[in-house]
Amino acid sequence: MALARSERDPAAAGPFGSAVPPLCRRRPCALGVDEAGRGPVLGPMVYGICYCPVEKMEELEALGVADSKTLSEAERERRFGLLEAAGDVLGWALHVLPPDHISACMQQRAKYNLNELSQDTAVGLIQFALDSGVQVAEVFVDTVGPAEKYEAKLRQRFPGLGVTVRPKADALFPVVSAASICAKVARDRAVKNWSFVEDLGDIDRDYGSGYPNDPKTKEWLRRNLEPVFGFPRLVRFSWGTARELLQRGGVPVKWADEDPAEDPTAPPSLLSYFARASPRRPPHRFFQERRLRPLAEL
Amino acid sequence: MAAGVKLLAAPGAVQPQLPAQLLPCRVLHDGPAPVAAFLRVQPGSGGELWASFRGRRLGGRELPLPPGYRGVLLREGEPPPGDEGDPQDQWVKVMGTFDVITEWGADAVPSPTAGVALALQWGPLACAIHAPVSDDSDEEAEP
Repeated sequence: MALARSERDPAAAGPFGSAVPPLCRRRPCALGVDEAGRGPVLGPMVYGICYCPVEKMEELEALGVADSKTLSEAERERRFGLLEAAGDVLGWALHVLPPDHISACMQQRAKYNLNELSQDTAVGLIQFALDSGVQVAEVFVDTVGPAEKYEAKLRQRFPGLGVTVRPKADALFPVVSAASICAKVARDRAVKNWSFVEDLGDIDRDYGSGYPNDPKTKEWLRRNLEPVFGFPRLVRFSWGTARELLQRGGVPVKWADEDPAEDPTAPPSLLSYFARASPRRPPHRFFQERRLRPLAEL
Repeated sequence: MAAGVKLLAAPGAVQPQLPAQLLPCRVLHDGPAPVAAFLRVQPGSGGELWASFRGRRLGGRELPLPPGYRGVLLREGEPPPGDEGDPQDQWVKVMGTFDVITEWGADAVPSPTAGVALALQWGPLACAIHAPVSDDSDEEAEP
Protein backbone atom coordinates (compact mmCIF):
# COMPACT_ATOMS: atom_id res chain seq x y z
CA MET A 1 0.00 0.00 0.00
CA ALA A 2 1.16 3.52 -0.64
CA LEU A 3 2.51 5.63 2.16
CA ALA A 4 -0.07 6.54 4.77
CA ARG A 5 -1.72 9.94 4.40
CA SER A 6 0.14 11.36 7.35
CA GLU A 7 3.48 10.37 5.89
CA ARG A 8 2.68 11.30 2.36
CA ASP A 9 5.11 13.69 0.83
CA PRO A 10 4.10 16.70 -1.23
CA ALA A 11 4.98 14.98 -4.52
CA ALA A 12 1.94 12.73 -4.50
CA ALA A 13 -1.01 15.11 -4.81
CA GLY A 14 -4.55 13.75 -5.05
CA PRO A 15 -7.42 13.82 -7.54
CA PHE A 16 -8.88 17.06 -8.85
CA GLY A 17 -11.73 17.79 -11.21
CA SER A 18 -14.16 20.04 -12.92
CA ALA A 19 -17.14 21.48 -11.14
CA VAL A 20 -19.92 18.89 -10.84
CA PRO A 21 -22.80 19.82 -13.17
CA PRO A 22 -26.01 20.17 -11.11
CA LEU A 23 -27.70 17.66 -13.43
CA CYS A 24 -25.12 15.05 -12.43
CA ARG A 25 -26.14 15.39 -8.82
CA ARG A 26 -29.79 14.76 -9.58
CA ARG A 27 -29.77 12.13 -12.33
CA PRO A 28 -28.11 8.69 -12.43
CA CYS A 29 -24.81 8.95 -14.24
CA ALA A 30 -22.51 6.73 -16.24
CA LEU A 31 -18.84 7.14 -15.36
CA GLY A 32 -15.90 6.05 -17.51
CA VAL A 33 -12.33 5.40 -16.31
CA ASP A 34 -9.20 5.33 -18.45
CA GLU A 35 -5.52 6.12 -18.15
CA ALA A 36 -2.69 7.59 -20.16
CA GLY A 37 1.04 7.18 -19.90
CA ARG A 38 1.24 3.69 -18.43
CA GLY A 39 4.01 2.43 -20.70
CA PRO A 40 6.44 5.34 -21.10
CA VAL A 41 9.65 5.56 -19.10
CA LEU A 42 9.22 9.33 -18.75
CA GLY A 43 6.64 11.54 -17.15
CA PRO A 44 3.50 10.93 -15.11
CA MET A 45 0.80 8.31 -15.47
CA VAL A 46 -2.58 9.97 -15.50
CA TYR A 47 -5.91 8.44 -14.57
CA GLY A 48 -9.04 10.19 -15.80
CA ILE A 49 -12.76 9.85 -15.31
CA CYS A 50 -15.63 11.37 -17.23
CA TYR A 51 -19.27 11.18 -16.21
CA CYS A 52 -22.62 12.33 -17.51
CA PRO A 53 -26.26 11.42 -16.89
CA VAL A 54 -27.21 8.13 -18.56
CA GLU A 55 -30.04 9.89 -20.37
CA LYS A 56 -27.57 12.33 -21.93
CA MET A 57 -25.36 9.64 -23.43
CA GLU A 58 -26.43 10.44 -27.00
CA GLU A 59 -25.32 14.04 -26.53
CA LEU A 60 -21.92 12.76 -25.46
CA GLU A 61 -21.69 10.43 -28.45
CA ALA A 62 -22.62 13.30 -30.73
CA LEU A 63 -19.51 15.17 -29.60
CA GLY A 64 -17.55 12.52 -31.48
CA VAL A 65 -15.03 11.65 -28.81
CA ALA A 66 -14.40 8.07 -29.86
CA ASP A 67 -11.12 6.18 -29.59
CA SER A 68 -8.34 8.66 -28.88
CA LYS A 69 -5.32 6.43 -29.47
CA THR A 70 -5.18 7.27 -33.15
CA LEU A 71 -5.48 11.01 -32.71
CA SER A 72 -2.80 13.66 -32.83
CA GLU A 73 -2.03 15.74 -29.76
CA ALA A 74 -3.69 18.78 -31.34
CA GLU A 75 -6.85 16.81 -32.15
CA ARG A 76 -7.01 15.48 -28.59
CA GLU A 77 -6.78 19.03 -27.26
CA ARG A 78 -9.60 20.04 -29.57
CA ARG A 79 -11.84 17.23 -28.32
CA PHE A 80 -11.02 18.04 -24.73
CA GLY A 81 -12.22 21.55 -25.53
CA LEU A 82 -15.52 20.04 -26.68
CA LEU A 83 -15.84 18.13 -23.42
CA GLU A 84 -15.17 21.25 -21.39
CA ALA A 85 -17.75 23.14 -23.41
CA ALA A 86 -20.34 20.49 -22.50
CA GLY A 87 -19.89 21.35 -18.83
CA ASP A 88 -23.61 21.50 -18.14
CA VAL A 89 -24.00 17.76 -18.65
CA LEU A 90 -20.49 16.44 -18.30
CA GLY A 91 -17.85 16.43 -15.59
CA TRP A 92 -14.33 15.05 -15.38
CA ALA A 93 -11.62 14.41 -12.82
CA LEU A 94 -7.97 13.45 -12.98
CA HIS A 95 -5.29 11.96 -10.82
CA VAL A 96 -1.75 12.66 -11.96
CA LEU A 97 0.78 10.16 -10.63
CA PRO A 98 4.21 11.81 -10.87
CA PRO A 99 7.03 9.64 -12.25
CA ASP A 100 8.99 9.80 -9.01
CA HIS A 101 5.91 8.64 -7.11
CA ILE A 102 5.67 5.65 -9.45
CA SER A 103 9.39 4.96 -8.98
CA ALA A 104 9.06 5.26 -5.21
CA CYS A 105 6.03 2.95 -4.98
CA MET A 106 7.65 0.26 -7.08
CA GLN A 107 11.01 0.44 -5.28
CA GLN A 108 9.94 0.84 -1.67
CA ARG A 109 10.57 -1.94 0.80
CA ALA A 110 6.90 -2.99 0.85
CA LYS A 111 6.69 -3.22 -2.91
CA TYR A 112 3.60 -1.68 -4.48
CA ASN A 113 3.41 -2.81 -8.07
CA LEU A 114 2.10 -0.87 -11.03
CA ASN A 115 -1.13 -2.87 -11.36
CA GLU A 116 -2.07 -2.34 -7.73
CA LEU A 117 -1.18 1.33 -7.95
CA SER A 118 -3.29 1.68 -11.11
CA GLN A 119 -6.33 -0.05 -9.69
CA ASP A 120 -6.17 1.85 -6.41
CA THR A 121 -5.95 5.11 -8.33
CA ALA A 122 -9.04 4.21 -10.36
CA VAL A 123 -10.90 3.31 -7.18
CA GLY A 124 -9.82 6.62 -5.67
CA LEU A 125 -11.21 8.57 -8.60
CA ILE A 126 -14.57 6.80 -8.52
CA GLN A 127 -14.78 7.55 -4.81
CA PHE A 128 -13.78 11.15 -5.50
CA ALA A 129 -16.75 11.47 -7.87
CA LEU A 130 -19.09 9.95 -5.29
CA ASP A 131 -17.73 12.22 -2.57
CA SER A 132 -18.20 15.22 -4.85
CA GLY A 133 -21.90 14.45 -5.10
CA VAL A 134 -22.07 12.76 -8.50
CA GLN A 135 -24.93 10.27 -8.66
CA VAL A 136 -22.83 7.46 -10.08
CA ALA A 137 -24.99 4.55 -11.21
CA GLU A 138 -22.75 2.74 -13.69
CA VAL A 139 -19.00 2.52 -14.03
CA PHE A 140 -17.14 1.54 -17.23
CA VAL A 141 -13.45 0.79 -16.95
CA ASP A 142 -10.69 0.02 -19.39
CA THR A 143 -8.91 -3.00 -18.03
CA VAL A 144 -5.56 -3.28 -16.34
CA GLY A 145 -4.78 -6.97 -16.08
CA PRO A 146 -7.50 -9.68 -16.21
CA ALA A 147 -10.96 -8.13 -16.64
CA GLU A 148 -13.03 -10.52 -14.49
CA LYS A 149 -10.82 -10.19 -11.45
CA TYR A 150 -10.75 -6.40 -11.71
CA GLU A 151 -14.51 -6.25 -12.26
CA ALA A 152 -15.11 -8.42 -9.18
CA LYS A 153 -12.79 -6.23 -7.11
CA LEU A 154 -14.65 -3.07 -8.17
CA ARG A 155 -18.06 -4.66 -7.59
CA GLN A 156 -17.01 -5.55 -4.09
CA ARG A 157 -15.68 -2.08 -3.44
CA PHE A 158 -18.74 -0.32 -4.87
CA PRO A 159 -21.68 -2.61 -4.09
CA GLY A 160 -24.39 -0.17 -5.21
CA LEU A 161 -22.94 0.44 -8.69
CA GLY A 162 -23.12 -1.35 -12.00
CA VAL A 163 -19.54 -2.20 -13.01
CA THR A 164 -18.28 -3.13 -16.48
CA VAL A 165 -14.58 -3.79 -17.05
CA ARG A 166 -13.48 -4.51 -20.61
CA PRO A 167 -10.29 -4.41 -22.61
CA LYS A 168 -10.42 -1.60 -25.18
CA ALA A 169 -13.29 -0.04 -23.24
CA ASP A 170 -12.39 3.33 -24.71
CA ALA A 171 -13.59 2.05 -28.09
CA LEU A 172 -16.79 0.60 -26.64
CA PHE A 173 -18.19 3.20 -24.26
CA PRO A 174 -18.39 6.95 -24.90
CA VAL A 175 -17.74 7.85 -21.26
CA VAL A 176 -14.52 5.86 -21.37
CA SER A 177 -13.46 7.50 -24.64
CA ALA A 178 -14.08 10.84 -23.00
CA ALA A 179 -12.08 9.80 -19.93
CA SER A 180 -9.29 8.64 -22.23
CA ILE A 181 -9.13 12.06 -23.87
CA CYS A 182 -9.00 13.84 -20.52
CA ALA A 183 -6.20 11.57 -19.31
CA LYS A 184 -4.17 11.85 -22.51
CA VAL A 185 -4.48 15.61 -22.71
CA ALA A 186 -3.40 15.92 -19.10
CA ARG A 187 -0.44 13.65 -19.73
CA ASP A 188 0.58 15.53 -22.92
CA ARG A 189 0.47 18.83 -21.06
CA ALA A 190 2.35 17.49 -18.05
CA VAL A 191 5.20 16.21 -20.21
CA LYS A 192 5.31 19.32 -22.40
CA ASN A 193 5.32 21.66 -19.41
CA TRP A 194 7.51 19.50 -17.22
CA SER A 195 9.35 21.65 -14.73
CA PHE A 196 12.67 20.08 -13.83
CA VAL A 197 13.14 20.28 -10.09
CA GLU A 198 16.84 19.58 -10.63
CA ASP A 199 19.10 22.54 -11.13
CA LEU A 200 20.61 21.45 -14.41
CA GLY A 201 20.47 24.53 -16.57
CA ASP A 202 19.06 24.04 -20.03
CA ILE A 203 18.11 20.39 -20.37
CA ASP A 204 17.16 19.42 -23.90
CA ARG A 205 13.61 18.16 -24.22
CA ASP A 206 14.20 15.94 -27.20
CA TYR A 207 12.63 12.91 -25.49
CA GLY A 208 10.97 11.33 -28.50
CA SER A 209 7.79 9.45 -27.60
CA GLY A 210 8.93 8.65 -24.07
CA TYR A 211 8.46 4.93 -24.65
CA PRO A 212 11.36 2.70 -23.61
CA ASN A 213 11.76 1.11 -27.04
CA ASP A 214 11.93 4.47 -28.82
CA PRO A 215 15.59 4.98 -29.86
CA LYS A 216 15.21 8.74 -29.42
CA THR A 217 14.06 8.26 -25.84
CA LYS A 218 16.92 5.86 -25.13
CA GLU A 219 19.38 8.39 -26.53
CA TRP A 220 17.93 11.11 -24.32
CA LEU A 221 18.32 8.84 -21.31
CA ARG A 222 21.95 8.11 -22.18
CA ARG A 223 22.67 11.81 -22.69
CA ASN A 224 21.14 12.73 -19.35
CA LEU A 225 22.65 10.01 -17.19
CA GLU A 226 24.61 11.38 -14.25
CA PRO A 227 26.80 8.65 -12.70
CA VAL A 228 25.83 9.23 -9.05
CA PHE A 229 22.28 10.52 -9.24
CA GLY A 230 21.16 8.81 -12.40
CA PHE A 231 18.41 10.73 -14.08
CA PRO A 232 16.14 13.67 -13.34
CA ARG A 233 12.85 12.83 -11.59
CA LEU A 234 11.09 12.92 -14.94
CA VAL A 235 12.39 9.38 -15.40
CA ARG A 236 10.78 6.28 -13.92
CA PHE A 237 13.74 4.64 -12.25
CA SER A 238 11.73 1.47 -11.67
CA TRP A 239 11.49 0.81 -15.43
CA GLY A 240 13.77 -1.90 -16.78
CA THR A 241 15.30 0.40 -19.38
CA ALA A 242 16.26 2.99 -16.78
CA ARG A 243 17.65 0.37 -14.42
CA GLU A 244 19.83 -1.18 -17.11
CA LEU A 245 21.25 2.15 -18.21
CA LEU A 246 21.93 3.06 -14.59
CA GLN A 247 23.58 -0.29 -13.97
CA ARG A 248 25.90 0.18 -16.92
CA GLY A 249 26.59 3.90 -16.76
CA GLY A 250 26.14 4.76 -13.08
CA VAL A 251 28.23 4.09 -10.01
CA PRO A 252 27.08 1.16 -7.88
CA VAL A 253 24.76 1.98 -4.99
CA LYS A 254 23.95 -0.53 -2.25
CA TRP A 255 20.73 -0.23 -0.29
CA ALA A 256 20.55 -2.03 3.05
CA ASP A 257 17.28 -3.77 2.24
CA GLU A 258 18.23 -4.77 -1.28
CA ASP A 259 21.67 -6.22 -0.95
CA PRO A 260 22.64 -9.18 1.18
CA ALA A 261 24.64 -8.24 4.27
CA GLU A 262 27.72 -10.25 3.47
CA ASP A 263 28.82 -12.00 0.37
CA PRO A 264 30.04 -15.35 1.69
CA THR A 265 31.98 -16.06 -1.50
CA ALA A 266 34.09 -12.90 -1.30
CA PRO A 267 37.69 -13.45 -0.15
CA PRO A 268 38.32 -12.25 3.42
CA SER A 269 40.07 -8.92 3.77
CA LEU A 270 43.83 -9.05 4.34
CA LEU A 271 43.42 -7.20 7.62
CA SER A 272 41.29 -9.95 9.03
CA TYR A 273 44.42 -12.10 9.23
CA PHE A 274 45.97 -9.60 11.63
CA ALA A 275 42.91 -9.21 13.80
CA ARG A 276 42.88 -10.30 17.39
CA ALA A 277 41.89 -13.94 17.68
CA SER A 278 39.08 -13.11 20.08
CA PRO A 279 38.10 -9.85 21.74
CA ARG A 280 38.84 -9.45 25.43
CA ARG A 281 35.22 -8.67 25.93
CA PRO A 282 32.51 -7.38 23.63
CA PRO A 283 31.63 -3.69 23.76
CA HIS A 284 28.81 -2.60 26.07
CA ARG A 285 25.34 -2.97 24.54
CA PHE A 286 24.96 0.83 24.61
CA PHE A 287 27.67 1.08 21.95
CA GLN A 288 26.52 -1.92 19.97
CA GLU A 289 22.99 -0.52 19.71
CA ARG A 290 24.39 2.75 18.44
CA ARG A 291 26.98 1.10 16.22
CA LEU A 292 29.70 3.10 17.94
CA ARG A 293 33.23 1.82 18.18
CA PRO A 294 36.46 3.49 19.18
CA LEU A 295 38.44 4.84 16.27
CA ALA A 296 42.16 4.76 16.84
CA GLU A 297 43.05 6.27 13.48
CA LEU A 298 41.28 7.88 10.56
CA MET B 1 49.30 1.75 19.43
CA ALA B 2 47.82 4.44 17.25
CA ALA B 3 49.84 7.53 16.39
CA GLY B 4 48.38 11.01 16.58
CA VAL B 5 46.22 12.97 14.18
CA LYS B 6 47.70 16.38 13.47
CA LEU B 7 45.96 19.38 12.00
CA LEU B 8 47.42 21.32 9.12
CA ALA B 9 46.22 24.74 10.08
CA ALA B 10 45.91 27.46 7.48
CA PRO B 11 46.05 30.61 9.58
CA GLY B 12 43.17 32.97 8.98
CA ALA B 13 41.33 30.61 6.69
CA VAL B 14 37.60 30.30 7.26
CA GLN B 15 36.19 26.88 6.58
CA PRO B 16 32.87 26.88 4.77
CA GLN B 17 29.76 25.49 6.41
CA LEU B 18 28.81 22.38 4.49
CA PRO B 19 25.53 20.54 4.38
CA ALA B 20 26.07 16.99 5.61
CA GLN B 21 23.67 14.39 4.21
CA LEU B 22 23.58 10.84 5.51
CA LEU B 23 21.97 8.56 2.93
CA PRO B 24 20.39 5.17 3.66
CA CYS B 25 22.61 3.52 1.08
CA ARG B 26 26.24 3.19 0.13
CA VAL B 27 27.34 5.07 -2.93
CA LEU B 28 30.48 3.42 -4.22
CA HIS B 29 32.00 6.59 -5.52
CA ASP B 30 34.82 8.72 -4.24
CA GLY B 31 34.77 12.18 -5.71
CA PRO B 32 32.65 15.17 -6.58
CA ALA B 33 28.95 14.85 -7.32
CA PRO B 34 26.27 17.42 -8.21
CA VAL B 35 24.50 17.07 -4.87
CA ALA B 36 22.92 20.52 -4.77
CA ALA B 37 21.64 20.14 -8.32
CA PHE B 38 19.99 16.78 -7.80
CA LEU B 39 19.17 16.39 -4.11
CA ARG B 40 16.19 18.72 -4.01
CA VAL B 41 14.63 18.84 -0.58
CA GLN B 42 10.96 19.62 -0.01
CA PRO B 43 9.55 20.25 3.46
CA GLY B 44 6.64 18.09 4.57
CA SER B 45 3.60 19.14 6.51
CA GLY B 46 5.01 18.07 9.87
CA GLY B 47 8.50 19.56 9.76
CA GLU B 48 10.02 16.52 8.13
CA LEU B 49 11.92 16.65 4.83
CA TRP B 50 11.40 14.78 1.58
CA ALA B 51 13.77 14.05 -1.25
CA SER B 52 14.42 11.40 -3.81
CA PHE B 53 17.53 9.45 -4.77
CA ARG B 54 17.56 7.26 -7.86
CA GLY B 55 13.80 7.11 -7.73
CA ARG B 56 13.70 5.98 -4.15
CA ARG B 57 11.78 8.22 -1.76
CA LEU B 58 13.87 9.59 1.10
CA GLY B 59 12.44 10.93 4.35
CA GLY B 60 14.78 13.23 6.23
CA ARG B 61 15.35 14.73 9.62
CA GLU B 62 17.79 17.38 10.69
CA LEU B 63 19.96 16.31 13.60
CA PRO B 64 21.85 19.12 15.26
CA LEU B 65 25.14 18.01 16.78
CA PRO B 66 25.19 18.03 20.58
CA PRO B 67 26.38 21.23 22.31
CA GLY B 68 30.14 21.52 22.32
CA TYR B 69 30.52 19.32 19.24
CA ARG B 70 31.30 20.35 15.71
CA GLY B 71 31.45 18.33 12.51
CA VAL B 72 34.55 18.66 10.35
CA LEU B 73 35.32 17.49 6.86
CA LEU B 74 38.91 16.41 6.73
CA ARG B 75 41.24 15.69 3.91
CA GLU B 76 44.52 13.83 4.23
CA GLY B 77 47.60 15.91 3.69
CA GLU B 78 51.37 15.73 3.81
CA PRO B 79 53.37 16.66 6.91
CA PRO B 80 54.61 20.26 6.80
CA PRO B 81 58.20 20.65 5.59
CA GLY B 82 60.68 20.27 8.35
CA ASP B 83 58.31 18.41 10.61
CA GLU B 84 60.13 16.11 12.99
CA GLY B 85 57.21 14.44 14.60
CA ASP B 86 56.33 10.78 14.67
CA PRO B 87 56.33 9.47 11.06
CA GLN B 88 53.20 7.51 11.95
CA ASP B 89 51.26 10.71 12.60
CA GLN B 90 48.37 11.42 10.28
CA TRP B 91 48.12 14.94 8.92
CA VAL B 92 44.74 16.33 7.97
CA LYS B 93 43.32 19.60 6.73
CA VAL B 94 39.88 20.93 7.61
CA MET B 95 37.94 21.46 4.39
CA GLY B 96 34.65 22.46 5.95
CA THR B 97 32.51 22.25 9.03
CA PHE B 98 28.92 21.33 9.86
CA ASP B 99 26.70 21.65 12.92
CA VAL B 100 23.79 19.65 11.61
CA ILE B 101 23.48 16.26 9.93
CA THR B 102 20.49 15.60 7.71
CA GLU B 103 19.72 11.95 8.19
CA TRP B 104 17.75 10.29 5.39
CA GLY B 105 15.75 7.08 5.61
CA ALA B 106 14.61 4.90 2.74
CA ASP B 107 10.90 5.44 2.00
CA ALA B 108 10.23 7.30 5.26
CA VAL B 109 11.81 9.52 7.90
CA PRO B 110 14.17 7.49 10.13
CA SER B 111 12.82 6.56 13.52
CA PRO B 112 14.00 8.92 16.28
CA THR B 113 15.01 5.86 18.29
CA ALA B 114 17.44 4.57 15.70
CA GLY B 115 20.35 5.59 13.54
CA VAL B 116 22.53 8.58 14.01
CA ALA B 117 20.19 10.31 16.48
CA LEU B 118 20.84 7.48 18.87
CA ALA B 119 24.59 7.56 18.32
CA LEU B 120 24.72 11.30 18.97
CA GLN B 121 23.46 10.65 22.49
CA TRP B 122 26.94 9.50 23.38
CA GLY B 123 28.41 12.99 23.22
CA PRO B 124 26.49 14.61 26.08
CA LEU B 125 26.56 11.34 27.99
CA ALA B 126 30.34 11.12 27.72
CA CYS B 127 30.64 14.71 28.96
CA ALA B 128 28.43 13.94 31.91
CA ILE B 129 30.35 10.77 32.76
CA HIS B 130 33.80 12.31 32.45
CA ALA B 131 33.12 15.77 33.77
CA PRO B 132 34.90 16.55 37.06
CA VAL B 133 32.70 16.19 40.11
CA SER B 134 32.48 19.40 42.08
CA ASP B 135 34.07 19.35 45.57
CA ASP B 136 31.40 21.50 47.12
CA SER B 137 28.56 19.36 45.98
CA ASP B 138 25.57 19.84 48.22
CA GLU B 139 24.18 16.47 47.47
CA GLU B 140 24.42 13.83 50.07
CA ALA B 141 23.70 10.25 49.41
CA GLU B 142 20.48 9.06 50.99
CA PRO B 143 21.13 6.35 53.52
